[in-house]
Amino acid sequence: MLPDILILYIVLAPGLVALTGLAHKQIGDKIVMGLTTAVVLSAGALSLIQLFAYVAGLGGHTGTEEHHASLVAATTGMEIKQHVITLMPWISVGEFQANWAIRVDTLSIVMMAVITGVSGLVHLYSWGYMSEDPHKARFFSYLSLFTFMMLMLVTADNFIQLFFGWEGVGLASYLLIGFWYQNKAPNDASIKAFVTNRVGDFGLALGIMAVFFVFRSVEFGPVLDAVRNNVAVVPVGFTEAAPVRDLMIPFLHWNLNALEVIGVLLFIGAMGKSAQFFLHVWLPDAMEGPTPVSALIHAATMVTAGVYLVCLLSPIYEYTFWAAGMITIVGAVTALYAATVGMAQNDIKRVIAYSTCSQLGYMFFVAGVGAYEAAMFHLFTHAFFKALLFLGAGSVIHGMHHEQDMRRMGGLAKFMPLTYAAMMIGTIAIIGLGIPHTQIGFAGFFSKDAILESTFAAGQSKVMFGQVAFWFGLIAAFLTSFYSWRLIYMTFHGPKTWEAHDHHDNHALEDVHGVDEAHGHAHDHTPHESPLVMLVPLGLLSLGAIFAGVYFYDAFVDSNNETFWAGAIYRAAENHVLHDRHNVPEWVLYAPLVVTIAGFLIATFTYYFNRGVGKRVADSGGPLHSLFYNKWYFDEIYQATLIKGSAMLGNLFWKADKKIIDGIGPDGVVAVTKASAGRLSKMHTGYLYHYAFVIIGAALVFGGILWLRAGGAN
Amino acid sequence: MDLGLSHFLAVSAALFTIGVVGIFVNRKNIIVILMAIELILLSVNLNLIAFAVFSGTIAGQVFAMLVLTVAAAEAAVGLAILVVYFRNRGDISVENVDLMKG
Amino acid sequence: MIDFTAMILTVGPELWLVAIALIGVLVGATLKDRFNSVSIKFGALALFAAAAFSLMNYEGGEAFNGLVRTNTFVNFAKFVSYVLAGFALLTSEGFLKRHGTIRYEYSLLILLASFGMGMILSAADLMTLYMGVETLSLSSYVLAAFHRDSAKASEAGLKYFVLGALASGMLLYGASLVYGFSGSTEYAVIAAADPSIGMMFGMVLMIVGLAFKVSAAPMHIWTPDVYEGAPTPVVAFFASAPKMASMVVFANVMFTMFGDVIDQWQLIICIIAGLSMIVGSLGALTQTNIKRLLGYSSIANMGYALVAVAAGPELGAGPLLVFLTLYVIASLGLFMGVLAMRRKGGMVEGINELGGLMRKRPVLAIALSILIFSMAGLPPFGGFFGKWEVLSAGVEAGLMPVVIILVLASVVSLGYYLRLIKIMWFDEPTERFEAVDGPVTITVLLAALIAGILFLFFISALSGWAGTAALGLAG
Repeated sequence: MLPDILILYIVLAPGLVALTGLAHKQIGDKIVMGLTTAVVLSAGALSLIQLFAYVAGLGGHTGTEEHHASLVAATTGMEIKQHVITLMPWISVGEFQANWAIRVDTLSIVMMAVITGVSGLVHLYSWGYMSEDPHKARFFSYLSLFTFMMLMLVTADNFIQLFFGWEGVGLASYLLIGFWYQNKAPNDASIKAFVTNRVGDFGLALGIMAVFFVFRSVEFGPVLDAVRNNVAVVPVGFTEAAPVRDLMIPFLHWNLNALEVIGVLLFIGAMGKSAQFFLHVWLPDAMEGPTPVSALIHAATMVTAGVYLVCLLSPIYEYTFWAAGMITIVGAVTALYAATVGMAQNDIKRVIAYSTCSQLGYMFFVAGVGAYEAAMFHLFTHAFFKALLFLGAGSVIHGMHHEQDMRRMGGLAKFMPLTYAAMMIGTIAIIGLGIPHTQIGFAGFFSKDAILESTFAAGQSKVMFGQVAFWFGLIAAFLTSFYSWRLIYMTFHGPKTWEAHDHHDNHALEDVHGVDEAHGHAHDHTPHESPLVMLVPLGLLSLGAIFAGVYFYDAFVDSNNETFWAGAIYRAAENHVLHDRHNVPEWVLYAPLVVTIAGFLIATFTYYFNRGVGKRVADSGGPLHSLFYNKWYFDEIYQATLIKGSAMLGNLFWKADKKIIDGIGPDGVVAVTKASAGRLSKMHTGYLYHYAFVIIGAALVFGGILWLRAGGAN
Repeated sequence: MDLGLSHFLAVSAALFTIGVVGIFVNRKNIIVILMAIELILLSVNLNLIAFAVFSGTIAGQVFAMLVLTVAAAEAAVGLAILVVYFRNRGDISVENVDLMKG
Repeated sequence: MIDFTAMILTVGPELWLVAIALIGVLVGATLKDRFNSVSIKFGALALFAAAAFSLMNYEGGEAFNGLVRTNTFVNFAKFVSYVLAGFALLTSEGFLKRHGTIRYEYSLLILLASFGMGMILSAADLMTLYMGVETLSLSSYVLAAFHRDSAKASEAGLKYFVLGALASGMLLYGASLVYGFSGSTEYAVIAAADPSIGMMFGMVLMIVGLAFKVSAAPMHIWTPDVYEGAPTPVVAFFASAPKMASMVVFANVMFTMFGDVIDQWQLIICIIAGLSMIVGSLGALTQTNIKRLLGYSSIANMGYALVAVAAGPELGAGPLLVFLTLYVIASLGLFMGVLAMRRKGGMVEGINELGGLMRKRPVLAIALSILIFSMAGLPPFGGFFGKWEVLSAGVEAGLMPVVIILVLASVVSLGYYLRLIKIMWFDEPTERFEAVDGPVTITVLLAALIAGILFLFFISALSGWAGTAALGLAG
């Protein structure tokens, strides 16, 4: 493990360097860009070194012993290795204690590597992508701010710091979604993201309160230890202690199991941030933000915070039935739902956004059945290939002068061969191509198969939801393959549809970007390959998309996983999912490969050999296609029910409040207050003798009070 | 009749009261106020000396010396401010010191 | 044998300040006008150095046979006061220059006033206390009337002088009674003496005198007029450093000298606190002059601080330091905002002049908004925690009536704080302000950053420091 000072550098330096954006007028855009990029890239390099060293030594904490808070969980006898750097106390009110701290354990090391690694590359990429934007310094400092907040989130050692990071990344996300604020769509999208996340955050906040209510602590150490060892706790306001796993607490007006309540509430928070079913509506709209942002925040890091939270709280979810079941079902439904919608979209970024949503569903359902390691593994590999796909798409968009509609692309492989190669690698990685029983395969192969096998095994032995999730996941794998290849074919193959269109169709969008005008006219509208500064990140991510799976497989989910995770993820004694997955029937291993190839073949048939088929299906307006194309009408349903409903309710209360409550309450009080203020003001006459009299009078009154009290005492 | 501590205190209290009342009863001339302030400080001095003598400690007498010094400084500063005020307003009547109020 | 080194260290910051001030007199007499501008930086540097000195002997000590005794409680306050005095001095240069009143005497007076602050903080004897109070007050009277060609300033100086002298007289009369009935002028001896009724009357008179110095109602009566009339940099100084020092001295006197008779004075302090909060928050509602408004606001805030004093040494000392530190920083910052209110024709002071500041000068407007929110005690800004600590101390000490007044006054005071915010953010823009002086901008940003934002994250650290410092009172 790195020395403390370097870990502090990784976590804090991006935050400090983000502040330089404030002074960009004085020091110039270039310096802000250079500083943020250099700092985040170096932090990325450091955390990757840390991760590799860690994998090589497999949980090899090499620091001195007193740095380790070694706890022994009674049930498993497993040693928990973590190292907490306490920066300073933050809030300390009675029993409510929270520190600023950096928690270093396997989970946070993996997350640090993902965050700073991808963020560093995205910073670099943005030099090219944002080269014509007038607000570069703002963009880069937002990116660094986001990186810092995300690091605060994953290195928190208590719920409060986690919440701080949680809201911080939310803030950075809204700022970046609405980065092109001159335009209406990004503004709407950022408001939508904000409002939707409020629902989730409400759950999270309630969950944290419930944790404090039950455990009288918000620090991960004591809370998770109590669950691991089934310690008897006395919730606030209770008189009797009860073992925490059997504790019943009143919620609404039922008496419910405390862990279930906490689990569900915290998961609602995770659903909001990770765009799971019902709260997913903001993620596709978030694509209004610049593409590097989509790659960093809305694919690789922030949206995976929910998965991270579930894995971090694995001790809690190990002892909940319904909360874990809810995670499984919501995850499975999201995986399938988002994949169906992804099939019918035409905007290149939206396809990838729905794909992200779907992949997050995978991570959730596998965490729900108890294979948290598999979830983290998929999170890790997904970060590479999804960032790759987004940055590749960004490269296409850049090359096409901000055209995002795939129907106006086609035949780009010739013009941007390197981008094409990168997108191919990303696609093969996401569909999970690989040969079972061998070590041959792209990153997605290892993680997705681990997910499907674990889920199947869990469905057989442990959790009934597992069966549902497995089949949903399998169908989603088929759809994933289909829409991913559809994207490749529509974008890179076939006739050049872009020449048939006037490029200026889209100028309404560009004008607000301000400078694209110049860009658009300077070239003759032929697509061009992106500059080197954008291709280098693509290349590096391609390496990750190819090799991250095979290299880390052993440590994350296979034979070495217990040493690797070193207690950062907890599994109950009876949970053998990760082990059982080796005993699944042979067909389960081959099923993903079969459906993937099927998806590939159908996509090839409809979009490569018979290019018209897809368009004809779309034009025919069949019910299934319209359902998918309109995202199952979620936006419309929400508009009609929730939004109209709350507007009506708001109006009602506003009018009632204005007439009845204000009239008697505030307005009346204000009138009295104003009158007394006026009278008081008149007392300050300005005359010296009045003033002196007041002072002397006060002295006399105080003397009198003293006299009376002394007399009373006698 | 023996002069006791209480006699000194009574005189001093009377002086103090005259000084204090002088500040807010007087509505004519600010210089009278300065004199009233001097009266207050003198009453304190009388108090201090009396206490020092009757309790046999020296601190009161030292304190009285310090108060005399401060009284001189205070008079100097007060008169200086009064002069500045007079130059601006052309009169030193207490009733007209009301530019600012409320 | 007297340990001279320890003695010098104990009074080090004050010796340093008075020496610098005297050297300043000589240099000023030699260089005349050439010294005017330099003296500002010179004085500010000396004040920062004094602040550093006060940290060097933070644990405190005794000097001059018990005339002076310091501990962490007062040294904490001393440090904060000196730093703020330094900033207040540093930021006054531009204002004075434009009004043609930049004279080296100004810096020297600030230095001497700061010397007075240090002396009252270090005092462990009534004589030191009185001399310190007079040093601070006499310098302040002159500073208030520093713009000698302004009718308002000279009237402010006159009012401040007459009422201040009256209050000093009462303080002194009270001190003489306390001395007479306890037989000594030393705090420690007085604390051990039998509390006779005469001594208690002395105490009440001293409370009145000290309450005047911190401008607590009903002895606040001079504050709005002086704040309105005196030159803005002077008011910025009045509202920051001496506020901190006087209030801590007030607490120190009550805690160390009259700590055992708390049930005698608790009620009186509570009445003063309650009145201050009511007068301060109501009075500010009708004001249209920003300086006057801030004057009332400071009266209300002194009321909050007095709640902590009334809570007694064990409960109140720590919260008092936290609250005062946050308040005085915010207060100085807000007066920097007033210093920034400059148009072609000169300074403006109506609150309507702030209209549309957000659109004209967003950075300044945001910084001021943070300071206002912090001072109003809205979470999550730093001021909230200060108020919260005071409120908790009050609740723990069982002072429910004042605590209720505190909450109500905070609500009422939101009325004028939010009015300022509304004017800055939503009203029609008035003409743009002239460029703001560099030190002023830096100070307002620093204040917003520190009092508004930084202490949100480091509030535990601040309470920790203050809590440890408050322990100095006990021994």
